[in-house]
Amino acid sequence: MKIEIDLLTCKDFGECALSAPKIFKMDESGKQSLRLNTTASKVVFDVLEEERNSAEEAVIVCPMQALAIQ
Amino acid sequence: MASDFDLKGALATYAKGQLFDPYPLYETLRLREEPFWSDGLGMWLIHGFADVEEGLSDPRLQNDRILGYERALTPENRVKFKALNEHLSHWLGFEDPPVHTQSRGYLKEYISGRLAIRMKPIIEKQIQEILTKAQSHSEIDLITDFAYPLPLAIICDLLGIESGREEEFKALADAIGIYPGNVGPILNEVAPAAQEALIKMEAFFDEMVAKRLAEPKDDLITRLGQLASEGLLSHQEMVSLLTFVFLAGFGTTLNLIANGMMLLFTHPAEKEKLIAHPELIGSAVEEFLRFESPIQIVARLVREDFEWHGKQLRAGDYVGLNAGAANRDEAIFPDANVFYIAREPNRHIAFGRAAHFCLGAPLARVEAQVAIDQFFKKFPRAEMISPTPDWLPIISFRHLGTLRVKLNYEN
Repeated sequence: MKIEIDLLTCKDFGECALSAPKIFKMDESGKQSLRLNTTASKVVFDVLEEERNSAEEAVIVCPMQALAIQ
Repeated sequence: MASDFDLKGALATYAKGQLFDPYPLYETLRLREEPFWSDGLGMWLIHGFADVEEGLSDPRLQNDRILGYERALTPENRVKFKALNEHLSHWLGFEDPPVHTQSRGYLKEYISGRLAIRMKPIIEKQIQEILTKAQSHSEIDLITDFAYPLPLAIICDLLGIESGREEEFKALADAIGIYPGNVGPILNEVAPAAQEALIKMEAFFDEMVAKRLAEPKDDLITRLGQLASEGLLSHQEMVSLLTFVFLAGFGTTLNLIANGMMLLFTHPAEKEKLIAHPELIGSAVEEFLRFESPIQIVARLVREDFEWHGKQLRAGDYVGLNAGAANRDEAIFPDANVFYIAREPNRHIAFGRAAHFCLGAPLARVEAQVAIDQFFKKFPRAEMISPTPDWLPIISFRHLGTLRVKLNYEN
């Protein structure tokens, strides 16, 4: 399973990190930690199938609707 | 857009709440002038998707609109109905960060995406009861007999309202809700009944909280009651949040289900597509949300003077962010005025954006998906009898009065 995050749309509310702590983390300054490794606006990455439920929850609670499961 | 569009006439009808197809007006205004000052409504109106999205994230547009209510009351009533304004000030929909972040956090622990998954079997059981009751009638009103009972049962279950007291609770919440549902001098007339209901609501929750503290259950009354008893939440905040959850979660879900049903009956090819491909229910519900958004206008109050798109906004001005219009913006949605249940992508703004993004969105989605899927599995040949959609004269919400259908049920 792949997850896509739009880092331009994302405003670092951190709801995904609460719903899916194994997939998303916020860094020390409260920013989406995926920002550390990239300057791209969209990031797609693999997620273990066993994390599907929490990934789906993160998608539906994202206040900016910046996540999608591919 | 045809140049013979009667903008003045449409605006006057709109301000009276009588423009039942507002979408051509929304489009005309979006293309013409943004933000648009409406004399009739006394507020700035915003219709474009990008602008509504920006407005929902702009801290200069605040949710705290208590000032607007106080301003409308006479000096004497301002004192008399202080408790009512204070009650309102603790609703999530009237709070701003950082207070809002904390209150929302108390609810978020309970109303999460996981709650929707956990509630699904309860929703399925409720909808079977509702459909079984309906099958003995040849005709039903989808509003009162279908779209109403499900969200009422679910939100009362979530709160922990004792069985048999749902209508009593709803009547009190509705009576309070009339007050924030109005603007201007009429607030002086509606405030007494609302405050009276508020006093009864406090007694209602005091009784329930006392029971739950003695015998805790897995519900929101227990949860917030415990927070209040630990001193983390004031008594007033607790009553406000519980009332708010009901008013934010009931009517909106009712309208989502009702508007979705109306859209399917008025677009028979899409209805048949859904019956043949029930797996489309997920994207169909997103399209209901986009095409007839239950909440059309989200109100904000300007915090400080600032210029937006060349217009001078003054502190204290009202701004109406029109999600219903944004969801028909051609710049974002190709063929925005075409209702298409398999639409993808569909990043509509019906649940808002940013700090106030609807906490109940996952629950509302599951309720609508289960209700509509199960309805057509049981009554695939149902036909609409109501000739045209019976929209109520309310600007901020898309709310049908009746929606009569013939079930054509075959066992």
